[in-house]
Amino acid sequence: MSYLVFARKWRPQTFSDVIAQEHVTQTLRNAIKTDRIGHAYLFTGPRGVGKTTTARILAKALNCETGPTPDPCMVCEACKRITAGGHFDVLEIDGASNRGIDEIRDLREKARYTAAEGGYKIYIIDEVHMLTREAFNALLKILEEPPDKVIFVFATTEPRKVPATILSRCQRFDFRRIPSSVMGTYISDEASKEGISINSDALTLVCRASGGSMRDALSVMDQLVSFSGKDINGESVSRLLGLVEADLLADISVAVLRSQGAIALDLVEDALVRGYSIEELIDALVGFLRNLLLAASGAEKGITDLSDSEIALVRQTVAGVSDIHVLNVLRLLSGATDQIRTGASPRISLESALITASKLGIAFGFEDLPPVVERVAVVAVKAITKSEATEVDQELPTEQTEKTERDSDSSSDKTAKSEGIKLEESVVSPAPPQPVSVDTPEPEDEKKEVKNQKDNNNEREKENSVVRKVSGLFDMIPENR
Amino acid sequence: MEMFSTIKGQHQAKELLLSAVKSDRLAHAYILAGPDGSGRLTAALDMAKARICPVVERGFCGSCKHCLQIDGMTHPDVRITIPAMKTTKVEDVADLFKTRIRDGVTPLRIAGNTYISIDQMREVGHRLSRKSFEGYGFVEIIYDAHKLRREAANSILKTLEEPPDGAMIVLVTSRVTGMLPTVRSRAHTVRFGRLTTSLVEDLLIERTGVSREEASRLAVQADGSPGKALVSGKSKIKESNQAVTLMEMIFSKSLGDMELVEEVNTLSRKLGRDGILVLCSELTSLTHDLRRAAAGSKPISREDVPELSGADCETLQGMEILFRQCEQRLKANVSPSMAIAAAVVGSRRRVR
Repeated sequence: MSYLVFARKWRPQTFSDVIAQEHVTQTLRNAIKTDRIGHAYLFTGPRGVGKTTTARILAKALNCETGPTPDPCMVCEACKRITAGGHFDVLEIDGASNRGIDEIRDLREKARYTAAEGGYKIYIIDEVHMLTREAFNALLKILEEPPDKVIFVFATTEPRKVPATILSRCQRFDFRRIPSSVMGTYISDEASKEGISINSDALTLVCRASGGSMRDALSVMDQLVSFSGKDINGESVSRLLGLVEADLLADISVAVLRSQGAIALDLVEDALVRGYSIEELIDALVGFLRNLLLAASGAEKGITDLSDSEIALVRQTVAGVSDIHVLNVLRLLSGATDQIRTGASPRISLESALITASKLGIAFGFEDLPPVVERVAVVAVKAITKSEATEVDQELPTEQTEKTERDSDSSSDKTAKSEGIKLEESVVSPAPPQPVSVDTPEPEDEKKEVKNQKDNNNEREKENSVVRKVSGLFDMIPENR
Repeated sequence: MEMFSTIKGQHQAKELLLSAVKSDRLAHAYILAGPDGSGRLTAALDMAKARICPVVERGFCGSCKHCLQIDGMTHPDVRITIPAMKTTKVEDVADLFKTRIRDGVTPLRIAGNTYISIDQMREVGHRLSRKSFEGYGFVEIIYDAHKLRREAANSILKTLEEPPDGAMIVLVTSRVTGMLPTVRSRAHTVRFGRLTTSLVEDLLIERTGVSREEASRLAVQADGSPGKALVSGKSKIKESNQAVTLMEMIFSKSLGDMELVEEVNTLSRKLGRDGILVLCSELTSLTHDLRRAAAGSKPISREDVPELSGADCETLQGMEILFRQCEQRLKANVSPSMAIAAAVVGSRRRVR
C-alpha cells in the first residue's frame, strides 16, 4: 500500500466529523431521524469542502445494518464496505467521464432492480455538471418518481450548469467555504493525533493559502510534513509556499495604485524567479483587480469565490482608492493580456502595462483633479472678462471665429461658441470621454495673433500637457485606439 | 544514483520532492509548474524511476532495466500524454520523442495540436484500471496539462482524487492558473522557478558549445528560458549594436530629420525585412529597458543601457507603442523601410 495523503486519510466518516457544514449535516440527520428521506439530493459548493464525503456518509447512514440511522455504526459489514468503496448498492459514478445519454440510459435500466442487500440503492453522481444536455433530460423522469428505495445524490462545483428541471426535482444543499478559525482548530487537532506539531503562525499561513478549501489545506500540510518533519513552524511554511498568491497580487496592486512602478516591477521579478509565468501572473492580476473593483465600487456581493481572509485582504488593499482608478488600471492590464498572448515579448508587454498603470495616479491625478478643474475655471473666467473688455474691439480676425465654430463642434463646451478667445481653454476641458489626441494640430497661427495672451500660453501649455498625458495613456488601451 | 542530479538550479523544488521520496511520502498526484525548460519533465521521469525502480528503496539505481526504459520513455507502465489530435501522424510523435530523448530540452509539442481531449484522458483511466505490466505500479505523466479541455480535465477528477493503489499522476504545466481549481486542489503543486542567467549560460555552453561571451549575451537576452536561449544559440543571430546606434541617433540633437530618414533607408536596404523585424524588436526591448531604468529598475535584456538625454518615462512609453506598432505592420507586410522610418520619425517627434 503506497502512502495515503492526509486529504484521503483524514476524510470524515460520520456526520459529526464534517466541519463547518452544520446546516447540511443537521438537516440530513433530522431527515433520517424523522424518516423523511428525500429521493434526490444536490450538493453544491466550492472544491474541498465535503460534498462527496457527505454523500458517502449519507449512504452509510442509510444502509447501515442498524437501520437508517443518523449515526452509522462503522463496524457492520455495510459500513465497512461503503468506507472501502466496495458496496454493491452504493454506486459512485464519475459524471464527467460517464456523461453521455447511453450511460444514463444504462443507469436508468439498472435502477429498476431492487437493492442487492435489501437496503437503499444509492447513486452518487459526482461532477454532475459535466453531463450532456441529453443525459440530463434522460434523467428527468426517473428523478421525479424513482423506484422505491432508490436515492440519487449529485455533487457539483458548478450548480449553474445544472438545468433548472433537474434543480427543481432535488433537495439542494449549498456547502460553504470553511472559515479559517474552524479549519485551523481541525488541522491542529488532527495533526497532533499523528504526532505532528504545528505552531499558530504556520497554521494561519496554511489556512490563508487554502482559500477556504480543506483539501487544499491538507495538501499543503502533506508537503510540509515531508519537507520539515513533524515540527512545523511559520518559517518552513513561508519557505515552501513563498508568498501566498493573494498577498503577492495585493502587493503588486498596491504598488501600482500608489504609483510605485519600481516596486511593482521588483515584485514581478520575484514572482518570475519563483516560477510564475507571465500569462498566469497577468490572469491572476486581472482576476484580483476585478475583485478590487467590486470592493471599491461597493458591490461586494459579486465577490463570490473568495475565503473570508481573502475578502479582508481585498478590502484592506482597496481602502481609500477610487473605483475609477481601479477600473483604469484593470482596463490597461486586460488590454495588455492580448498583447501578452500574441506578442513576441510578453514580459515587456506586462511590465510596460504596469509602468503605465502606475503612472495613472500621477497623470489623472484623481487627488489633483479638483485643483485642475479650479484652475480651468479660473482661466475661463479670465477669458470671459477679457473678451467682454475686448468686445467692442472689432479687430478680431474673422478667420478666428470660423475656426471657433469648427472646433466647438467637437468640443463639449457650448459656451465656447459665442466667444473666440475662450476657444483655447475649451481644449483643456477636463477628462473628455475621448481625450484630445496628441495629433490635434496646435492652433499656431492664433498664438501669434493673440499676443496679449502670452502669460496664459504658459498655463495652457501646462494643462495641455496634462491632456497629452491622459491621451497618451488612452493609446495603451486597445478599445480607445 | 542521485535524484534530480541532471536538473540545474531549482533547489526548493528538488528539496521538496527529494524529502517526499526519502520519507516515502510521495503523494498520488503532483502538478509540476514552471516555465519551459526548467526541468519539469526530467523531474517527473526521475519521480517515476523512484517509484518503480525495484533495486534501490526510496530512490533509483539508474542502470536497471526499468530505469533505462523510463529514460528512453518506453516503459510500459510510465506513460506520457501530450496534446495530440487523432489526425496527427504517429511517426511525427515518435520523432518528437526521439528528439527529446536525444537533446533533453525540446518541448513535447507538435504545432497545431493545441489540446488534450477527453478520449486521451479516458485512455489514461482505462490503463489505470488494469494491473500494471511490470507489477511496480503506474506513473501517468500529462504534459502541458493546462491544455486539457474542460471535459477532459473534469473526467480525470475522480481518478486524480483516488487513483488505484500504486498509481501516480504527474501533471506538467507552465500555467497552473490556467487549470481548473478542482484539479489543482487534488494534486500537490511544486513550482519550478525560472533559471538564473549564469545557469542558462552554463547550459548553453554545455549543449551548443558557443563561446562564453556569446553564451552570456544569449543568456541575458533569453531572460531565464534556456529553451529560448538554445534556439537562438543554434540560429546564431549576429551581434548587433544597431539598435543602440539608432536609438542614439533618434535622441541626437545635431542630426536632422531628413538625414535620419536617409540613414534608416540605407539600413533597411541592407538588412531586409527579417533584419528590420529583428531590429525593431530589439528597439522595443531597448526602449523598455530605458523605461525600466527611468523607473529605477535594472534592465532585463542587456547589462546596461546607454544614457540618453530627454529619455523620460512618458516619451519612452510613446516610443514603445510606436515600435510595437511597427512590428505589427512589418508582420502585416508593410514595406520595411516605410514602417521603420515612420516609427523612428514618430519617436523623434515624441522626443522633442
